[in-house]
Amino acid sequence: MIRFPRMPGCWEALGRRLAEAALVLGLAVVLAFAMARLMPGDPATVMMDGQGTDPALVRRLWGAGELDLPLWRQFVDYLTGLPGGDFGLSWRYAGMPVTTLIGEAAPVTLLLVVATLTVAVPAGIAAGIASAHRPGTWLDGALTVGAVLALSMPPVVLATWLMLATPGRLVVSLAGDWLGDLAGLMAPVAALAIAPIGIVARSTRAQLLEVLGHDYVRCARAKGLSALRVMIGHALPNAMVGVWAVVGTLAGAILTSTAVVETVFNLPGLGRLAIEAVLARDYPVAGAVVLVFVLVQVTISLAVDLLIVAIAPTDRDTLDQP
Amino acid sequence: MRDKAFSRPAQTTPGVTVSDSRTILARCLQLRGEMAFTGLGKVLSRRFGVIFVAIFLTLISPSISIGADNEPVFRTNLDEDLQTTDPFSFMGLTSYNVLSLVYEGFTALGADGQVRPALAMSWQSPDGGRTWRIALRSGVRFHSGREFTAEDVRWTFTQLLKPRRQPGIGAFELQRVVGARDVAEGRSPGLAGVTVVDRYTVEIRLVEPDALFPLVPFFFVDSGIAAEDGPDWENRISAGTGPFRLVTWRRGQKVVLAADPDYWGGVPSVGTVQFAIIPHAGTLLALYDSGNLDFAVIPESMARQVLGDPRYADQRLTFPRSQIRYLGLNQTLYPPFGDRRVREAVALALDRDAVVAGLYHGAAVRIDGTIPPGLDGALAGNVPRLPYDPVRARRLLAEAGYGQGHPLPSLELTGTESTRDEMTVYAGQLSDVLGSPVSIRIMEHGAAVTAANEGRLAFFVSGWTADYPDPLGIMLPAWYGSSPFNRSRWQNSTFDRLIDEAKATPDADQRHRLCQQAEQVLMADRAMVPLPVPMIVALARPGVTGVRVLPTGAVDLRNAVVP
Repeated sequence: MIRFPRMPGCWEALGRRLAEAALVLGLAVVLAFAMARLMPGDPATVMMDGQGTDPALVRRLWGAGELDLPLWRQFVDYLTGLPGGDFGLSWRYAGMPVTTLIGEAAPVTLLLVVATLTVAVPAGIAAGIASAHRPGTWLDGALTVGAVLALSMPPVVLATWLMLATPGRLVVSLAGDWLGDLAGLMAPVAALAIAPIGIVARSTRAQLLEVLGHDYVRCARAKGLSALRVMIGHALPNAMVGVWAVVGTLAGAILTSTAVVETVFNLPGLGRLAIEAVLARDYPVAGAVVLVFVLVQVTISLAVDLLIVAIAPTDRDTLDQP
Repeated sequence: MRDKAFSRPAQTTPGVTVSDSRTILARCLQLRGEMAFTGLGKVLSRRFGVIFVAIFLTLISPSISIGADNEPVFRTNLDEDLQTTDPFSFMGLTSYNVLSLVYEGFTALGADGQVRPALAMSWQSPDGGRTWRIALRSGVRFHSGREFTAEDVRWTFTQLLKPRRQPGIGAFELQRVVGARDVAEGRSPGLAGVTVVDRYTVEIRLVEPDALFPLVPFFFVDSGIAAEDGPDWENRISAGTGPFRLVTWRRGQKVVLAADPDYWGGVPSVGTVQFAIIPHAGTLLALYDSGNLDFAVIPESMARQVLGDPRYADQRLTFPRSQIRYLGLNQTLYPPFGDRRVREAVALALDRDAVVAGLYHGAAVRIDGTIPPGLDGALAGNVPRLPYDPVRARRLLAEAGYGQGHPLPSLELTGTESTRDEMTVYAGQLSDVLGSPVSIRIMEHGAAVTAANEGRLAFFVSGWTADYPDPLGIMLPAWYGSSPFNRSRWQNSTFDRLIDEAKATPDADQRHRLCQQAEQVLMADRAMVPLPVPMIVALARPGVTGVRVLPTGAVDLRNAVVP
């Protein structure tokens, strides 16, 4: 059971964060609507690859749809549908509710993000601990170089390389039972996890080195505790406050990186859905995926803030950081 | 799951089920949740240990991997997902290419790119294409076992016209049938322009002549299906007469078809077909290389790589497209194009043979007009061959007043990413000969198509795929004066008159002659600059034979043999 401290400053900061989150969501709602409609190209034209049936005739026969309504009316319809989770119908998939498409694609992306965090956070923390345990040694140097290399690797390059190196695994997505074969997710998860491992490792190392200089750590050492025990039992919990903030940001970055990885590995997730929707001018789907991504990012940020307050109330000032 | 299963349940996966995997995932999530909200110190090491072990065991566990499919399948690819499996709502070429294996129309496209009768045995028009009497094939059965008759034609047409959110291509084509609007707007339950003459004959009346009506790709649907299977049947039932039944469509993943043992044209030799949806070209090639595909239709962006790779020498196949490509010349937006001599100079400045040999490794078709070879009505030598003649090109420019000291205003050639290489080559050749810089501008595909259709591009790379296997399928939309797809806004009254005449000429030979005359008018005026058309490139695993790719991109499996 989470227990929040009774500190007025803390609640004020959280209230401010909630207000900011609401503002971000509101802006995302407007931007998702506007961006989709400001994209050059007509959905009917794109669907027919620019030829075939007269786009004007398509629009006339699609008169029941949104394209022929005034923009303000489209916006009102869009807004009124949102509270009930109604994003309308897809243009590309004839007559298919957008929520159905998102519901089908979301588990793929969710699994990728969760698996990536599950691999990247412990691995990064372990590397960070190892690095901070013996700073300046060859191990610290090697891990630092590895972390910087990992950070420098664009996901698209890594994903393409891993895809070419492990094409046999892609049979998973061909069979269509990707959820039943988690082993097939190893390469895409690796493509997503490499950079986050580097980030978490660097962050953990920096936080630990700072905390290890505090008096209470020296006191623990003076009591005769082993170096590892001091590190894990005393220094790490405090160091983790900063690390969790980084992990929160990372989750959003991983989420957006899934678009590339899902495309390269042929996984039918939200990222691939978004890319294909944008190319097909499927406004309702493209806008809805953007909103989902923003909503997830905002939720994660808030969750991290709450977590930080819960585990280290004295560090509530971090909430005031931008 | 996201399955749309047709006629029979989707295959289940041996080994651990999806719900098992979800349980594992849920457990992992639960552990993470506990870890996050119970303080970190003591939990961290133990919990991470448990999570690591759970994930590791999950990943390496052989019992979770997918078992080999016991049923032999012909595995090929689609570069984009279907838009729908509803034969009344489909619009795009990909949906058409797959559904055309399940559903059939009056006519179909033969492997040679020519029209062949399908559910119609013959078609006649006594009044220049305004009324069509169509004799239907007898003895054809739907996948349900019911016989296909003239009533199914009438029912399909009526259903196509009924209001729905996204009417498909068939609904647009039916706008020309008498009474179509009454049905579409709910004023009439029946389509006045369609008469069932007898069990195997149907008569269709149009509001204006249309010589190509029997070639329109309508898909006829089992009229008993709605009564028997209820609403939303199109997402559950395979209701056509085609050689394959639709078994499964998993959005974004795959489409599975199974051969119909009662197909009127003979049972296909391939039992099951699996189309994997693979939008990324690099992924497609990796899957083919690793033996996960039997036959791969290569996207154009990767065709040159495949053509130039000796590894594929004995697996490579090429097929012609029913397509033209051209440089569009808008005479209003770039005034020098108003002078025919300038247009001809542009045409003479391109070395097409070098492009075919160098850029396409020989896998391209040289076209000097607007009717692709192989299309019904194509006539070799109908228009003169366009030579590469830089000397004459420079002379023509000089005569038009554009020489040294007064070069052509700078030109910008617009196209899409998929044509970047061609554009670079053409821009280089044009710059050399025309004496003024020709730059290239790449636009996003949808934006470029819209801009071209709206007549906003002065000098552009464009193309047209024949909507029907007939020259009119290209010439009418691409060059007719009032066509919304006349992208360079070229106008010629003689050309338009010939096309009008062809539209009202049901006799194919006569119609083709009119089209050939119109092609001569088009090219004599140098209305556009024809470009080579790359062929469709495919890879077939050793032992796979008899598979052809039709000019539309559809895979023809009627004679396919898979080891």
